[in-house]
Amino acid sequence: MAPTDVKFRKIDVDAYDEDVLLETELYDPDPRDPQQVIEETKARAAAVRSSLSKGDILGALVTILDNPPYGSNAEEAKNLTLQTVVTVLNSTKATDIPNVVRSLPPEAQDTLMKYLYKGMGMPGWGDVSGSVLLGWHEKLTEVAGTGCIVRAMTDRRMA
Amino acid sequence: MAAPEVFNVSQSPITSHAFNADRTRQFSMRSDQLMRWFLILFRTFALEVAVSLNTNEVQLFSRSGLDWTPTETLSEHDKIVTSIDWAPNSNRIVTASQDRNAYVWQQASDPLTGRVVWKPTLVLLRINRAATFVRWSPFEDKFAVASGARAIAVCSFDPDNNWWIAKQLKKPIRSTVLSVDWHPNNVLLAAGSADMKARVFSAYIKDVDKRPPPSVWGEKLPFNTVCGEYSSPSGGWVHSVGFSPSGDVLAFASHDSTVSVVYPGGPAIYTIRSNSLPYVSLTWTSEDSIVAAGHDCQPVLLTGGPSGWQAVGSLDDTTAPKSSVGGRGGPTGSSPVGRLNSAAFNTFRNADSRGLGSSPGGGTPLATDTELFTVHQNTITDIRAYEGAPDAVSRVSTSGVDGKLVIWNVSAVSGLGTKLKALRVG
Amino acid sequence: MSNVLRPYLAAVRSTLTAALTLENFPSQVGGCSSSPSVNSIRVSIKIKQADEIERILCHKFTRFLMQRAESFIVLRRKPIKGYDISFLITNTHTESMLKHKIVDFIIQFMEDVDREISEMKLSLNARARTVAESYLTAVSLGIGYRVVTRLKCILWSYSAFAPA
Repeated sequence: MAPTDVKFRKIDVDAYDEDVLLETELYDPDPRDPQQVIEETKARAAAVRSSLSKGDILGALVTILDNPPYGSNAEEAKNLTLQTVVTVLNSTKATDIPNVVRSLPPEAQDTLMKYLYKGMGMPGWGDVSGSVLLGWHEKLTEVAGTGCIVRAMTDRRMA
Repeated sequence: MAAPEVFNVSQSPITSHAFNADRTRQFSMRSDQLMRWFLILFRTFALEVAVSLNTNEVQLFSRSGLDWTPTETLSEHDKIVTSIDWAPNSNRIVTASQDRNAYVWQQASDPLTGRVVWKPTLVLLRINRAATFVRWSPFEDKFAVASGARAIAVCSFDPDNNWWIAKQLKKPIRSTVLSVDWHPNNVLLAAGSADMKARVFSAYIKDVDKRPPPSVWGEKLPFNTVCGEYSSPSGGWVHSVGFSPSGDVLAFASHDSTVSVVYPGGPAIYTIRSNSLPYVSLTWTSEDSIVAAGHDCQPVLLTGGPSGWQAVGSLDDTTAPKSSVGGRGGPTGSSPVGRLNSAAFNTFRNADSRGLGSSPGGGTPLATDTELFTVHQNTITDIRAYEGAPDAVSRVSTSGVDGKLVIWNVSAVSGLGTKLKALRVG
Repeated sequence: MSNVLRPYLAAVRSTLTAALTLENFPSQVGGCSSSPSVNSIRVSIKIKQADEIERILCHKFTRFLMQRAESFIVLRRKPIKGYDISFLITNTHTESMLKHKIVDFIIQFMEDVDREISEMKLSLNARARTVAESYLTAVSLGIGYRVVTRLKCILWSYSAFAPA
């Protein structure tokens, strides 16, 4: 096929559609105010530190993964959440991971999967370690299955 | 546990399938042996199935003994036939296609040969995108065609002009409609859409329908009333919708690997999170059970009621390879990584943990002989009730991308294995 | 397979399995003369390249594969920027082939590429050492010692990742 034949593929057809379905229409916006979200996330990060000091990995993960920030105006809160999640993941012994992921509520498992993928997409960012994320990914997939990965991919309320 | 009946239709994918009369009727006929023999003698009774083999044609097969033989080909569409439905009582077939058209097919004798053949009638849908799905209404006097034009064409017959006329349901659909299902009252219509929502509409047509009695979905129901709108839990396309036999409950399967069950009177919505790949088709088998199937390649039974729902197990026995060729594989059972329950995966795992295989220059020993432990070797595209009354379906049929048509016993649930135990009600 | 690669391939495998849920979905532009299938997934792979030798080998090897792209069907001739190899899987592929076999193929492919490059590099290093050793006998020991140590270092660090 000559290159000229495929030029039409690069046309942004949505630009010509007056009734285009926008990304923001695909999910309900976070009802919380962005400032409130960042405050909440900071409070959670503090709660996570205190849980970790007591060695309560599961409690720390449940805290940070509950009702997570989403939407395009919550980048700061999302990054803080990722940082906190990574701190928890890094402080967990490999042998404890299976029990922790098994005890997480289903919603938290889905959210954790989202943050694992977010972390994998940012190698070298902060304390993100590829091998730690891969270890968690494997254990989480064993418990929650490919269904959990599918949900991390389809959910527009991205981490 | 009776094994499923497997029919290898073709090498190409089956997009959609529909059997002729519903099995309910034949089932009751069987009790009347005399009547049954009468019908067989006069050849008015033959089990037939219409399938779309991912082409612009519809192929009819007739059952003779244990075999299926191709009988007639319905060719009128220009593009892939996306959906087929066969009205059991009026014996009419309706087909929808990516060519944006629908045809209603009726048997008539050919004036030249005198043979009885299927004659098409074009339906003016007035849509400018592909038709994606079609279903006859319970009374068979209407049908609904879902489309990529963010609309559903509700078609009814106009006897004065001798044609089918379409009226469109549009608002508030924001993307392609992927499936529809009729309420038993012949008026309400459920629709699943790529805008990630399932909706319940009124498809009331003044000259056709009587005013339906009030239900959990509402009382006054003029055309295009939105009686309910429900989002998929984690943002996937809504692939399939279905009313329960009573019509009081709605279930939908979405691409986020969940099935949602809606009790509008409750109000309660139950989400069953699957730990496997998304379901694309579902059918109710009683007021408290659903069978769903899709990318996971096996039909899964879900049961529940107003207080909650859960996955029970698979209709497929996935503990061993389906072909008679043994010897490969190694340990069976669920694999650690998702649904990769295949001989290939086990060989792969052996190669990893015991250093078998992967000899330098040995080529690719793993990719040559792999088989999933499911009957269907690829995505199931369509699941339908096959036998039994709507509130007591005993068998369901599935068709798949692997070209297989399979008839399953609903009671034959196996494998509350480790894999399915992990399914939870959210 | 090396222990470094195993968890990575496990993650790629489960991710691909989840992603390869394509359908024959009619495009919004239904009347368009092109193929109506717009449903596809692109998989791009970056191959681990620890040093200059691996970079060269990887470049040669992927170029060799890309030139034979049509025999791999799903392989693209040009990778996405920043990656070494791209696959494009459309709904026609998932229909004409079994999707679990596509996943098997890609995983096998990644494993093979890793092994091939390791082997090529090992033989290259072995040859370099032979050359260096024969060179050593002829020239001064001081420089030669450094060369040999360096080569040994590379070989040692590589053997940690090499297949058994």
